[in-house]
Amino acid sequence: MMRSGIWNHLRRYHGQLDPGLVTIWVLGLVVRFALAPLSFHTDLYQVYSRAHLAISTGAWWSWSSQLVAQLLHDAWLALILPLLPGNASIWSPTAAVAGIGAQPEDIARFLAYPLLGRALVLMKLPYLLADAIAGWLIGQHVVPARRRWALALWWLNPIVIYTSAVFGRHDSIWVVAVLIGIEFARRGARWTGLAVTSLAAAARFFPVFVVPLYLVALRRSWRTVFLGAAGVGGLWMVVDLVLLQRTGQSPTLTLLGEYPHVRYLIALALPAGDDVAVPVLPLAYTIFACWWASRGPRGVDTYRAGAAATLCAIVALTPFHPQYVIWSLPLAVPFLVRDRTGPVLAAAQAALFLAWLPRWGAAATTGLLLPLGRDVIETLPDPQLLLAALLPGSVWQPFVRGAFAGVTLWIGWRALVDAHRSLPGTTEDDREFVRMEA
Amino acid sequence: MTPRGLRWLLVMAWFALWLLGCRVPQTLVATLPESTSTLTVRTQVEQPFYSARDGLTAVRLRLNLPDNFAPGARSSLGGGGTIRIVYAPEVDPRYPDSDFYAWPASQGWIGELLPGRVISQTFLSRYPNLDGITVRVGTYGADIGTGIGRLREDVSAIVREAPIAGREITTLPGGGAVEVIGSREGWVRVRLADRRVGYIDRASFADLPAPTRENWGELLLRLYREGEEAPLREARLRVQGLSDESHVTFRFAPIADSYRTTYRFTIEAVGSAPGHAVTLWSDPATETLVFRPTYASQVLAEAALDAGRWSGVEGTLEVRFAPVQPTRDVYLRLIVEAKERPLIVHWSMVRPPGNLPLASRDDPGIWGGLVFNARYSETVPVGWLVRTVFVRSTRAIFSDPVLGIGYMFVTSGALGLLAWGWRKRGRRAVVS
Repeated sequence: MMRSGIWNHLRRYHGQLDPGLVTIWVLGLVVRFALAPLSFHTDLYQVYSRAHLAISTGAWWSWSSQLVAQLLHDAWLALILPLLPGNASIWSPTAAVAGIGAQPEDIARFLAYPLLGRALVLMKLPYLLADAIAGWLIGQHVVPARRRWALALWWLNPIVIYTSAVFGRHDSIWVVAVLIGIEFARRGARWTGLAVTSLAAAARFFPVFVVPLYLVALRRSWRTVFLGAAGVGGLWMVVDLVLLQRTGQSPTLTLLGEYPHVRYLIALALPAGDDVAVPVLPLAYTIFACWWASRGPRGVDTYRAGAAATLCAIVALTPFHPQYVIWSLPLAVPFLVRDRTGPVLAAAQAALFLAWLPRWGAAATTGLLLPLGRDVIETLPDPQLLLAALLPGSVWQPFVRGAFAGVTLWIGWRALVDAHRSLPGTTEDDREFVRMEA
Repeated sequence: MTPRGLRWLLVMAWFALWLLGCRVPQTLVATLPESTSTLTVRTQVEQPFYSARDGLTAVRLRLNLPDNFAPGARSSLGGGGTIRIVYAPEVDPRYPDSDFYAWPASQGWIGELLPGRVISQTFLSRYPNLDGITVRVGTYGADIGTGIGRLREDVSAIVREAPIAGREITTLPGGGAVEVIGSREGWVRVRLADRRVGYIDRASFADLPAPTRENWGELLLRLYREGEEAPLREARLRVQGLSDESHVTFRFAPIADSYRTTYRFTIEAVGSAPGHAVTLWSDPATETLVFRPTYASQVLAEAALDAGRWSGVEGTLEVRFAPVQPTRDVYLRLIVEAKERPLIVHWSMVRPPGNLPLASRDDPGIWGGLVFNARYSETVPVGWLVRTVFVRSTRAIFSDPVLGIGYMFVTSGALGLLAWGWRKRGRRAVVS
């Protein structure tokens, strides 16, 4: 029955299937499936080890700092565990202990698991699915004539493939949440869109910066902006207080106090006095937010442009690890495909990203291929040292990082400029959506 | 194909062939671990590590260089310090006696070793210069009996959790009486008033309970090369001088070519009798004697730090020496010795291969490992790497039938869809 359904569907759409799009989908799929069982980062192992701890001991709240992301992994692991026979000993018992994490012996046990390839594919499957959904949603955000490029710039982008299929990072799931938020807004369901975007913000902090832009750009009135802000803030406080009561630790304070990511946001600073420095990113974001609020732009496209610019600025101006670069892409891609220079910029960004990767040494490059065997991986030279033998590290690293930041900022700026036409007010289309929802 | 395309194809093929002909130099670790802190070496620091490859030829040690030299001081990178590489078979965990202090309940004594009973054991020697076999013997209380012992008046006695280097659990005043319940490694096992059991150095006693028995004769060890009938070495131990529950070593002249050679040794008692014989400690689960081969010490390489080359990229001083053979599949010990000025070396919570902690005379409390790397003269062809990656990738997918079938299903489906899509390639529309 199901087979005939698919067959009928294919027959119906045979004449409409774009072979170019199909090729892109197939290429991306094959590359992802080829890489998924051969690579992983310990972050992937740790998040699933914590999930196993939650499932086996019922300690669902033992890891409260990334609760939403963790709960999702808990649920997924509960589903796939029956497909991984004899897995009880492969997880780390200390992965949920902050400051200790998974130990080398735990990782060695995991690597010795006879069904390692299956385990890695199943562990990464939600990320690959999220990549695909994000690709489809991005395709819906552009005119049909640009759909191939939009899909290629996301689905075949080395940054995306590296993050989801090689590194095994769950960020693309939350990228999808942000894109679904936009899709809801496009269809007039602005509160639902806000809820989904806020969910993404609860899981990763990148979307936190786009929530205010969403509230302003997709407002019905300024009252709804304040209501939305109060609602999101209030809900966050409730969740935080509940967890504080249950675990004795506030997730927010834990994140702010113990996670280096927060310090990354203020790492780049201008010296303002003897012991005073003005952090660039908060400064730029505040100016941008003030400008945004004072202009009060409206519309989905405007929000997407502002959010794309913000995410590009965060990636460009903070010392983030390579797996977070993915955030600069999903909202910027629809703007990149509007003319021929966009794909060139995206290619330059991807090339600079790949050139910048060796800066992280074996840990973010060859070391990810550990499932191929420690003997092989330890044979490979550290890419950082390899490059240092050719060029002084003090020269190429800042140069590549600077160029990468420049291209990424330029992509964000282009998005903003492209959407500038709609900044004075609501576009006709968006006005229509607003009316429909009203 | 156009001539231009063919030219590019030839260039690519030439480049691929050239790449396949390259060789990758081998190092101990791909990248140095992040430093946790520094350690000031005034005397020396030692770091055992596992070496998987042959031909160790350089050591890169992360250390802080001084930014200035005192007037009259010799300006040098290493302050006259040296590094040495020696074998470290004593930390090799692959022999049955892997923990000196452990006497697990799962193991036990084999019973009295009487004339005519020959204990045989085969083993792979992993190092050159084999010069002895250490086993654990039991004398059934032939050195110290049980009862009340009296401590010396002039010293207080330290009671330890385990003999020799065990943690101190209490100190007893001199001259007191204490219940003696046995001995281990030549130390007296005592039971304290609070029922705790500990060990006191035999030298702290003025009076000990008399031994309960006397053992006679000798233990004779014969070492054979595997497959040969004539013994290669013989060693004897008089049983009368042995302590109960202790390690004893049969020493013989070093065998230079003992690296990766399989030997068999036999132990038998000569001149013993029932009630006057010793016993050996074994592991019934694996049916092996609990033993450990010993090796004559040998300095494999020694070099002055002053002759090293500084790397600003890694912050390391690289000291080179002639390739050392053999270093494959052995435990080595890196010894860094300071001379004219203290050396400030880095250590990390990530230990080098072998996962053993450093040993510092100056700061014994560090459980991390030295931040260092080693380079080998051995190289690996890129072609081997490419082939191995391909073979293992294929194996990773297809060794699991479920995964393999899933992959074939997905891949064939995707390729089928691709073919379907391109069947009428002129008709392009908008559905994605």
